[in-house]
Amino acid sequence: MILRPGADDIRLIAFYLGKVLLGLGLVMLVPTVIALFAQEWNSATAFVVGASLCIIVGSASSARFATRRPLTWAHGMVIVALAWLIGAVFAAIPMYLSGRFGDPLAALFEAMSGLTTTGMSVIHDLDHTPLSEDLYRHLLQFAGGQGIVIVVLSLFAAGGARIASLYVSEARDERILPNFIRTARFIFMVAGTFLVLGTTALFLALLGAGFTPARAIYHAINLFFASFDTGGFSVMQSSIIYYHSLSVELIVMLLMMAGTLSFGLHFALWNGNPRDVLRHLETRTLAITSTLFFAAVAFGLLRTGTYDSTEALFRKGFFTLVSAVSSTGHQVNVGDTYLTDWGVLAPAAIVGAMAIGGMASSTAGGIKAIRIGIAFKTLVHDVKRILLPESALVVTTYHAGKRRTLRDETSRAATTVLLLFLVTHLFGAMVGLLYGEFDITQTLFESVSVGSNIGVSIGVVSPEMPHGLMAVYIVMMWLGRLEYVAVFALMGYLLSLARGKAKA
Amino acid sequence: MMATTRRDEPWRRQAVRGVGLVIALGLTVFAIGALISVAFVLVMG
Amino acid sequence: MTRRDAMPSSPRRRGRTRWYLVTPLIGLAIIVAGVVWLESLAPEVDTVDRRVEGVPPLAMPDERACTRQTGEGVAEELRDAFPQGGRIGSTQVHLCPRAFDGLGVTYVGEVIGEVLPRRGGAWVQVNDDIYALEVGPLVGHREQDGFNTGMSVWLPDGLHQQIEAAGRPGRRGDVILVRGTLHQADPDDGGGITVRAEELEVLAETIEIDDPLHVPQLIVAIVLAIAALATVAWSRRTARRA
Repeated sequence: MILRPGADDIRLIAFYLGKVLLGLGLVMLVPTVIALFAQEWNSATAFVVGASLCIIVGSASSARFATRRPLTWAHGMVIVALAWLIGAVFAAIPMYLSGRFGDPLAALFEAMSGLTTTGMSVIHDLDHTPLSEDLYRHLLQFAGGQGIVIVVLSLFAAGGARIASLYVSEARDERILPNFIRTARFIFMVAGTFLVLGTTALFLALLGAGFTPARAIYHAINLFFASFDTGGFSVMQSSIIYYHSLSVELIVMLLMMAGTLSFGLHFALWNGNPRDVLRHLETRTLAITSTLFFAAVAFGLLRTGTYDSTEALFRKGFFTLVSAVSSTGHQVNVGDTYLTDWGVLAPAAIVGAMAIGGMASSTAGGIKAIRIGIAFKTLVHDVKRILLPESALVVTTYHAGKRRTLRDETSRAATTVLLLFLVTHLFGAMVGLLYGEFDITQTLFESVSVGSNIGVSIGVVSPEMPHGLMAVYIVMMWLGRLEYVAVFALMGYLLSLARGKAKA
Repeated sequence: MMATTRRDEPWRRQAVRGVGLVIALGLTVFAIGALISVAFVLVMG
Repeated sequence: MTRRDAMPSSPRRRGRTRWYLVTPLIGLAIIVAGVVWLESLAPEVDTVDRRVEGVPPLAMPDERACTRQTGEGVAEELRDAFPQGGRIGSTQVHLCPRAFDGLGVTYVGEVIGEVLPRRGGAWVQVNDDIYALEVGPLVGHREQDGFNTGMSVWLPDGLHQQIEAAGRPGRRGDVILVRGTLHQADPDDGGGITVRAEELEVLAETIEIDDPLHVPQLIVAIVLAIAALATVAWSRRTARRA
């Protein structure tokens, strides 16, 4: 597919981006209201500035370039790629105005981290941050998590059924329901149900943990967004350590797991088909990899003597693993202690779990279980082909929604993206080493965490981190969330424009 | 898998079933994690 | 779609495309520049009166990192050099938790967030960063110094009742000094790093922090809000005409 964008294409893209900005502007109105109630005047004006800019640019753009032209796959990919980039830039505006970020790049980092549901933070003095600003950070995770799914689905609804079939070429089962609108509605229903139940459960647990009702509600809402959207921002700098509560940790783990379950599997459960879940390639892949990684974590922690009780192993080791697999990023340990107190094996196992990530079609990040599963099946398939006589026909199948045959295109797509993730992780690790202040354990851990949109930090990411590294991480978070394909479409567009092949 | 939708079923019942099964799945995962922890603590002392 | 659009590529058309790309970039640059300028106009207050007096110095000023590598002697050295009951810093402890495991320590910091009463005592998160001990919360000034750092402190037997208030957005909470034992993997906290206090002393009381109103930002906000409403109205008219 040779992309040769012209002025009309750019207008089309601008139209949809305008709508995305309008949505972001509306999101900013929520913390504005909270700021007014809490009398956080400077925060309120900062959000009004941000929201107004979003609305001005957004409505002007979508009105000026209004069109009914159909979208092609290329348009959709470019829009999604730019939506996160432009969205992060505008989302950073109220953040920078709050004065809690060293410079605009740091604010952009935080915004991108929120929207991509990574959860790495570079904010100064989080513990004294105004309520509205803290809520805004958590809302961005919701916007980037559920919100972007809706954006993508509506873009493709605008494009028609043809686009849908192209988008699911990677063995992903986006079309949960035959109708995109119904799929979007279902996703919101699941999110809404968990919002009500999850927030209530957290509220009760927090009351039990010694919180006052008002504070319990505040923490419960933010904790929900961070956990279910597998984001990982926290209200307090000490993350989940702050609560000292097993019940809070258990509920958070359940929400993280619910958040990493693909929406297709939620649909199966809602329809009473749990066996579909158990048969799914992703479930099986994650079950195997997570068990192995947790065994490594447990062994590592016990051998170094870091922990010696089942409770500690579970509340620290297992929690961190679930946080890593679901790509949430909540922590029950101060980041530095992964390096100074956990030995080498346990953090390495966490890195492995982070690299793999969660399930596709959810807010989780990483390579995704489906690709790992397909890569493994491809390996088995190829070995079988070698071992069996040449005339034998080897067919490998797997379960992903329904029984599917392993096709060459699927294998290639999965392993290509897998490779891209790994190359990016290594690149990020190398860049980190350039500065001479971190060692390979730290840079590799952080690079994988950033590139897989996890958010568990070993301490490299901080407000004082080198700017070059910060910029690289911003790009990595963006690439990771888009899983590369959309970014390539964007690069293709830009290249053809630069080469002057623009059509009339 | 996705072809059949029990559209006539009240969504509340679906929600209860869905969430209930997610919780059951989660508790199973907890149980496995706890078992592995206990096993390792016993073996490694 | 006019007939002109159907014609093959011409320099004028290519120019239009380039213009469509460059303009948004220029626009973004202007917005970013404007935001940075606006932020630089924020009022600043003097933070001198937020400094906490009477904080004892750290027992061991150097912060050394250790790992769990066998044969590495850093933790043992730190442990041997540490005077019983000396003051520790949270960053110092996180760099080598096992060096301080089980030692009698003094810890100073601001109570942050809230006091969490439980059976037999209460949990508090106590931060000992500059926002706690020197410049106060990052409100009304730009003396940024990174993340908050702190540790969990367990206050048994009603010790927590001496605390008036905890740190919040508009306030620097009580700064306390506790003497107790440090645990690298506290069994009563599911393995967390904690200080189990035996004595508590309040070094500085809660102070409310004023956030002076950023007037230029207020003006810009009002202007932009009006512009936003105008743009929405205009876009509705344009859409209706189309």
